[in-house]
Order: sequence, then structure tokens, then C-alpha cells
Amino acid sequence: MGGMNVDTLNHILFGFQVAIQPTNIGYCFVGVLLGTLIGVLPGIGPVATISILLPITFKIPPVAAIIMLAGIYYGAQYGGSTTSILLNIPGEATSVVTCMDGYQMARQGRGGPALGMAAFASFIAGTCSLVAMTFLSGPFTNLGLRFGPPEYFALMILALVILIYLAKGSMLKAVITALFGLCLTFVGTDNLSGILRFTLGRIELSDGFDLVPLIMGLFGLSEVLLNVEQNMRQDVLKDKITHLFPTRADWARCKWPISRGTALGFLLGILPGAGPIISTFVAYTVEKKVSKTPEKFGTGMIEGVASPEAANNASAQGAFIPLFTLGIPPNVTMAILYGALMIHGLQPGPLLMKDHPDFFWGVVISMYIGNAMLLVLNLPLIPLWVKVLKIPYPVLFPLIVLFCLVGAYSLNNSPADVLIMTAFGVVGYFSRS
Amino acid sequence: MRGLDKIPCLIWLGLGVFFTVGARKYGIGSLDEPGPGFFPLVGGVSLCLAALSHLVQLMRKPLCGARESSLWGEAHWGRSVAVAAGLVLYAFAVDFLGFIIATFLLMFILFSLYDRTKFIFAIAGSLSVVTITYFVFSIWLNVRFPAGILRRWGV
Repeated sequence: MGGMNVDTLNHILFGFQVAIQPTNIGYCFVGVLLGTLIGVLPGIGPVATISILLPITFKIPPVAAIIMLAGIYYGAQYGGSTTSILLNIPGEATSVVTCMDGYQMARQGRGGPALGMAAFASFIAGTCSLVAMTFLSGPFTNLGLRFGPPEYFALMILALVILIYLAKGSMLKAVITALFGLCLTFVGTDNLSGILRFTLGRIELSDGFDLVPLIMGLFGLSEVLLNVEQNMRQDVLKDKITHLFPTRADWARCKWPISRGTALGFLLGILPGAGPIISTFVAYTVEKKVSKTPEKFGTGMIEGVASPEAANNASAQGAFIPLFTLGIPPNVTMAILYGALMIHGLQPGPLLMKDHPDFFWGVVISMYIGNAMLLVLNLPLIPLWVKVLKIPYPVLFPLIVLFCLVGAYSLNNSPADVLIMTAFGVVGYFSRS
Repeated sequence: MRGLDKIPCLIWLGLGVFFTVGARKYGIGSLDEPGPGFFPLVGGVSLCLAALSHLVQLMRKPLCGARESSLWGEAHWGRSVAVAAGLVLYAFAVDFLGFIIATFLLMFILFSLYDRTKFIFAIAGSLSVVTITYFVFSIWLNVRFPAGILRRWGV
């Protein structure tokens, strides 16, 4: 046991050595800043942003690339609450629940404490999750090393079953999406016979679909196609935001909701399919159930902000455990990060920690630094985020489209990738509408 | 607009048929010795069955009309068609026109999508975006964009 602690301590110190290198600190800062920005902006989420920025990371070292992409993911969980509280429009799907009480608090002149509590709850939950991740990754990896093909097959099937079971809306639609994904893998050269399948005579498709235009289309472009159809309302609260630091009474009310949100979020984050969105709804429901005044939820209860915000951050951090230790992405963002790791020559799974300790511990420790950065960044920058919220979508979306097409084109300097991205954008649009 | 919500089902069904029919020419093989077309056939048939079941489910749904009106009736779906069509045209035109001209034209269309009267804004926005993108990606990050018809001016 003592040996394990010394080992863990050594790893943590090694991780710090990697994470505090100026390049990595710089990319971590860029990641969390971008994450907060896209979290604040309705109409673009972490999945789309990571997809769009993936090609840019090809030119930077893998550790820095994943530190930045991970920063975008957990940074977005912080930023999403700002829009929910100030606009009553969730910046992210994970902040839908925060609207219920956060916006009511803002209308009552308590926008400051709501934003402050959201940031503190996110920080506490994110850090607790990271501590758990630091100490649980070893046992998870050891478990993963004992897995053979049958265990992995069973785990994959379990992941797919849970994903389909928890899918929003129609279960049949989830099955169709899974089958569509399966069919896409048939395009390209058959590994056993060497025959070209479903390439339509195009040499660009001989290796199958490139991951980048595919995910950029499915997640980035489809989001734009859906959003341009709506006239987005942007009524930013006009009151000045003051008293960002919650009072003692607020802390007394929120300590248990934050703890419960953290525990629930972390556990649901590890599970395939559940993820941060479901964790926020579960956390909110639990708070309502345990509250002595459940009828007041939805009227500006600070517990209704603290618990879901803790849950989405804990869940976002917890999701890295199955990805890094078992090689199983529990949600869409992690699936894209899985692809990013592969592109950078790293195989997610039990051997990742053993073969690339600099990468693993560097990324884990960078998340502690990123969380601290987010707390420091979020509170003073709230006035700036309020200004950012005033950028109209008609100005924003052409820039997103441009990023998508430059990212897709620059991959092989081929317009065919722009076409593939557009085709998948249309497919994504139809499957999400 | 009735029936538009079935378009996704028809797309899935079409793709299922594409994989099912296409699989046959690669050789299906047998259960003991599956050929290159075996798994595409299984995948294609399963996709067809799932899409058909979903289609039947939608046809039996009584509130279909209400859903359609909220999804398609109030939405400005012409804008999403314009974005997708603009990107397709861009892909075909970029090699000939070159990155600068093609991107400028696409950005102009996108910037004027919400309000067609703001010409100056659309032109200024497109020009600045193309200039910044060209400098960042082409000159700074060394991404090779096609020069197209601007090649003769040494771009």
C-alpha cells in the first residue's frame, strides 16, 4: 500500500514536471479559455469545437494537443452556466438545468452569487473528480490489463447497449445511428481480402472516411445547419453583476448539494452513455427530493445551481477514466478525443499509462492546473463574457463554417474532404432535427 | 409540409439499400467463410429493417403534423440549404477560382444570409475574414491553398 502511494506521488510529481512546461501551460490556457468561450456562446459546443480544431493540433506535440482539447471540454462545462444564468439560454446542453434556478436568481438581482457559486461548485467538483481519477486510474489500468478480447467485446456491447438505452428520444433512432456508424466502416479497403469496397471509384475513399471531415460534418457543420434555421434571441440581462462571492449562508446551503452533485456526476461520468447531461438532471432531481422545500425549486434556489454545475464538471473529468485506462470512450466528446489520440500515435487503453507515462500524468495534472485557471479566469472575466454574448449569430456562424472548411481542406489539400464534410453535415442535420 | 419528417428515414433506408446491393458484388461467402461482402450485407439489411420500422412508427404516430409544423414550418430551412449548397459549390469551384476568391464569395453569401440589405457589412466582413484566414493558415501555418485564377498574379 505504501509502495503504491510512493508510486502515485512519483507519478504526480512527474506529471507536474510535464504539465508546468511553458508550452503545455500555454496550450492548457488556450484550451480552457476557448472552452469557456464556446461554453458561453450558444450555438457551438465542445464537440463541434474539438472537431474543428483537431486538424490544427496535428502540428503540435501530442501532450500539448490533448491538454488543449481536454481543456476545451471541461472549460465548456464552466462557461455554459454563464449563458444559462444571464440569458436563460443554455450555452451547453449540460447547463439546461442551471437555467431553472440560475436565471430566476439573476432576475431577483442575485446573478452574481449564482455565477460565483456555479464557478466554485465547478471548481470543487472538478478537483475532487481529478483526485479520484489520480488514485483510481492505477486500479482501473490493472483491471484493464487483465482483460482479453472476450472481456473487451463484452464491455463494448455493454457500452453500446447502455448508449442505446439512454439515448434521448427514440431508441430505434439510436439503433439506426449505431448501424449507420457500422456501415461507414465498410467503406475503403477490406483488411482481409484487400478489395476496395464502396469507394465509388474515388481514390480518396480507398482508406475509408477520414475521421476529421466526418466528425466536423456530423458535429460541427450540422450544429450550424440547425442553428441558422432559428432566429436566436439575445436578451442579455442589463443589470450590473455584483457580489460574485457567495455569502456564508449560500455556502451552508450548498455544501451538501455540491458533494452530492460531485459524487453523482463522477459515477455517471465513468458509465458509458450517461455523461454530463444526464448527471445534471439526476443531480437536480436528487436535490429536489432531499430538499425540505422542493416546491421552491425553479424560483431561484441556489442549490439548483450548485448541484448540477458540480455534477457536470465531475462527470466531464470522470469520463477521462474509461478513455485513458480501458480505451472506451463513454461519450461523443471522448470518442473524438479517442480519435485525436490515435491520430497522434497513442493507443488509448491500459497500456497508455505504462507506455506513455509522460502523456498520461502530464494530461491529468494539467487538468488540476486548468481547473485553477478556470476559477481565476471565470469570475473576473464575467463582464467580458457578457460582451461576448452580444456577438450576433449571423456574424459568428460564417466563421464556424470557415473553420470547418479550412480544417477539412487542409487535411489532404483536397476539395473532396469539403464535400465529405458537407455530406456528413447534412446527415448529422437530419439525424438531429 | 406533411411527410418531411420521414426524409431521414428514407435517407437511412437508401443507405441500407446501397450497402445491401453493393455487398453482393464483393462476394458474400458463407457463415464459416465470410467474404468481403458478408458484413456489409448484414449491416445493410439491418439498417434497412431498422429504417423501415422507424418509418412505420412515424406513419402510425397521430401527432406527426404538430411535430412537423414546429420542425419545418417556422424554421428558416432555406438558410441551411443555402449553407450546404454554398459548401458544395465551394468544393467544386475552389481549385479553379482559388482559395481567396472562392472563400470571399462563400463568406459573402453566408454574411448576407440573415439580412440581404447589409451589403457593406457582408463585403467588409468577408474581406477581413479571408485576409486573416489567408495570413494565419497560408503564410503562418504553411497550409497550401489553391491559387486558382490568381496564380498569374503570383498569389
